[in-house]
Amino acid sequence: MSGAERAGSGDLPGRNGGGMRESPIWDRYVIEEIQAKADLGRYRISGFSLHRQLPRLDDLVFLPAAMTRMPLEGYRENCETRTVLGRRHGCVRPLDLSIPVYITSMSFGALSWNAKAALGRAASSVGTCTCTGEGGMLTEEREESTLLVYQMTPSRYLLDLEHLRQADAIEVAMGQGAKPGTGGLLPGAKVADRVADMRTLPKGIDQRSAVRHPDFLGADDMEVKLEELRIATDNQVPIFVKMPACRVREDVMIAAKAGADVIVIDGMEGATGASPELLLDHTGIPTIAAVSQARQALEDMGLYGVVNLVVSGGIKNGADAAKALALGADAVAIGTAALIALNCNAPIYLEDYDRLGTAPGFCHHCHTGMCPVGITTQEPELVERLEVEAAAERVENFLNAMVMEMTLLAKACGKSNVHNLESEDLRALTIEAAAMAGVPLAGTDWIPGRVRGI
Amino acid sequence: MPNDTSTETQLPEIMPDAVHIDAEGLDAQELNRQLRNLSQFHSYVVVHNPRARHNLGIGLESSSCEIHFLGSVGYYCGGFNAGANIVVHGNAGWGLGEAMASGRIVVKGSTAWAAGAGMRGGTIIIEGDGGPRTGIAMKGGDIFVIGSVGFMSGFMAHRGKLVALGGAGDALGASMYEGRIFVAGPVASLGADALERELDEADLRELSKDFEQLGLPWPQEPIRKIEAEGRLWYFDKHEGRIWRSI
Repeated sequence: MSGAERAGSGDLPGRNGGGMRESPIWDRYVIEEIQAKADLGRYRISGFSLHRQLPRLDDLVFLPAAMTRMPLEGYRENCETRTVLGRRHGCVRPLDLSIPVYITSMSFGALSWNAKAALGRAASSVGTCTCTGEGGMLTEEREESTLLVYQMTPSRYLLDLEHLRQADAIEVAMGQGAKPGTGGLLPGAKVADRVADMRTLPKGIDQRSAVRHPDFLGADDMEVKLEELRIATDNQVPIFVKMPACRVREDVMIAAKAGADVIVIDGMEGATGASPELLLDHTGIPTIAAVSQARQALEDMGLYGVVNLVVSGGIKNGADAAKALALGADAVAIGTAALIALNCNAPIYLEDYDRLGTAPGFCHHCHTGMCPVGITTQEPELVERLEVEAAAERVENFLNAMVMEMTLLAKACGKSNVHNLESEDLRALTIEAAAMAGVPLAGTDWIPGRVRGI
Repeated sequence: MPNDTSTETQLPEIMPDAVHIDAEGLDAQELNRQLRNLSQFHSYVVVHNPRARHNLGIGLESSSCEIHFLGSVGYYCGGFNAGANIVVHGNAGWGLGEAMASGRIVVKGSTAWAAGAGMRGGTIIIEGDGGPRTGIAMKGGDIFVIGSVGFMSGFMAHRGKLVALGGAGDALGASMYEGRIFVAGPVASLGADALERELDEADLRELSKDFEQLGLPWPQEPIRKIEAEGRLWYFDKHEGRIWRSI
């Protein structure tokens, strides 16, 4: 008997795969991460979204009409999608959208100017809005966007009366789902001349934006701050408060009490141009859990339907959007999905993906500023690759497709208005999703965590 | 017109053609609408009984009118100022002149937290003390404080100038970009990445001109100049100790 035959098969390289068994604790990704940090001397930074499995809206299904109710003709009957946000305080121009989907806050700096312009043009063409993000109001974006939400972040980049009064809504940002509890991050490669000028920064620095607002801290302060914004805009436009999904119930109640017209909840699936990587995977709660908690908080305050609820974070198609509405949202905001429609991760310029050590379908290298398709970059030769008109058309098509998917589902459920979707129309495929969304597990009337009959 | 007599006595002579508003009984939105309207057509507007109310003088644009608040004001007085001249005959609450782009605000008393937060231009003059975080996140403009400033003043100042003649609290000038701080008197501590530099001839000329224009005497104690060293501007593995500790 040879030595190899005497040893256990698991000890032998190449025999039954034993020598290539991967530890579930110390798998290749963990090893690579530790060695990367050993080289970097700091946490890793990454763009895009998280790298772990979560309970999500995909774990819910609709119960279309059958015997108990009547479906609408999917291809012939109308289904209303108009969505009006921000009527709570009687502002002169509430945000009147043709569809319950809009483009979320993504900054100029994180994105190229033409990506911002294309998103604005696409949003306008379907009657919805886009949002500035924290880098200030970009001229091209204002020109292309019929309706533009102007974001006020703790860093207050390019924030003044002139720009405030050009806005169609103001969004006070209290954080984002991708990296709750920290401010924005813009690596130096993307702090090009124009970005630096708009943010009043030295060119090329690794900018870590503030996380706390400079002039208010608590709930009472925020109430005064929102009043100030209302006065500064002469109550022309609604005030949004955006927050990451963390202590959703309490946070929503505080924002509602402070006077928000619209509350935006960004789940942990929310993406970013750059973040310490650990925050993407280890902070916040999933969108599916956040929607139900937010809705319940508003209902308990008697403000559901008075304060509007917008949900973002991982919304990737009309099904996700319809489920979010059924769970209680008035609208959803999309970011990554819109970028993918622009061309993010498209199989073009393959040599540049390769140069980044990645490939189409895997690229999350927004933080490098070397986006092969010209979206998350400030490099002129890369920026040129994104042609505004064609890119806008792709996003317009995608938004239309999303809305068709939403109305298809709504009509199948017998609803003539997408806002009539309700949680009773949903069932969960997993216990986790049932507990988080507060809808029964499919085939049962069981909602984990809730006492029956109450 | 009812008067807040405790502050009335501190008033300078108000021009006889001044327009008077009583803040009592007006909500903040209406009061600000009146201020916006009146400041377009009058040289002086006097607001009686501000009684430390919040959000007074928000988003004013006139540069030819002087608005006097006869008493203390609350949060965000002069917020989003775009050219108005405001005088507060009392103290001011948080966020005085926040997001101001131009104009001038004078506070006869002291200010609470975050005066000039995120301001992009214009001038703020505080004749008493400035609270904590004075000049936080400022992007431009000048703040002059005759007294001291509180902790973390100048925090993350992108640009602009903060001058404090009566000293400063802890963590002065923490994590700045291109903001400049000139301080006379005791400084409890400098903030992360704040560095004291020698005043050069250009600084002295600039400050002499400022003091002359504002009618301020040159301070008896030496003036120190605080700027960012820039060690926090870039990720660098060799700076790991700094990053871990802040």
